Amino acid sequence: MFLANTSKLKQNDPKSETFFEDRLEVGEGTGPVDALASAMMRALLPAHPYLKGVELVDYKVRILDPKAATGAATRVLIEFRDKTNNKTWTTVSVDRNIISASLNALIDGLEYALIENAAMCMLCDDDGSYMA
Amino acid sequence: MGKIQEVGLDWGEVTNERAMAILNRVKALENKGYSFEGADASVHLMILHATKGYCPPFQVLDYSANVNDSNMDSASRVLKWDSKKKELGRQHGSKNDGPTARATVKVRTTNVSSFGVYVDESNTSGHELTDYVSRQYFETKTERP
Repeated sequence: MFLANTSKLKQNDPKSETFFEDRLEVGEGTGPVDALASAMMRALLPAHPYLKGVELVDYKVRILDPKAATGAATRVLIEFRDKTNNKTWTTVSVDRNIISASLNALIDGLEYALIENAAMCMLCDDDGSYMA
Repeated sequence: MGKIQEVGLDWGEVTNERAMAILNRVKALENKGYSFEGADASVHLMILHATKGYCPPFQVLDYSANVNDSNMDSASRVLKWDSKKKELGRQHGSKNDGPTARATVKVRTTNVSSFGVYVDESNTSGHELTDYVSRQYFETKTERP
């Protein structure tokens, strides 16, 4: 389980610039979706090691309006599994760009894994600034 | 409303105004082709994102993906007769091994060096804290009075 030392967390100001960091990572794979999944994991694992136990178990693509030919909207469904407890969950995304649809479904799946299992949480103000 | 309660939020946390915004969002997405049946995690996240105070654990700021593959084999092109080897061969040679795509992502997430992060080893078989994380943690501590 990923845990944060909350006593130290309270000593830091979430509004400070150092509380968050931007990570730029590169991943390679047998296709663009595989490469994006690899890059996402490289970017997130240092801060969220819990994701090491998360795996992608199913990836489905369906064309919604075939008449639009190569410009058709694509629905991507991705099923994830948590290897630690065998729990599965599915995310969906629709876009005319199959790469965007795939990445959005992937992001949702990883975010869900973190919020379901995180022992810490952060709060934002409505304007997006972080609350202590 | 049932979904909102499943997410574990009190109804008071999601005002009627926000509930209507969620419903309108679902309708707009369904018109776009979304079908949430079976994708409960996406519904869960949509409700959370519409909830006051929710802060996602990370944000993807931008991304790029490039495909670099010279292997143009297909069902028809791969079956080319190689007269020298006297067998069916590939038109452009075998390049099936190794990655063919490269992607970059820029992600905003919590800075693990800004607070002490530890991993409960009893629950993390197979997990490891990288040198980078632990090194940064101590460097940060020395910078603070």
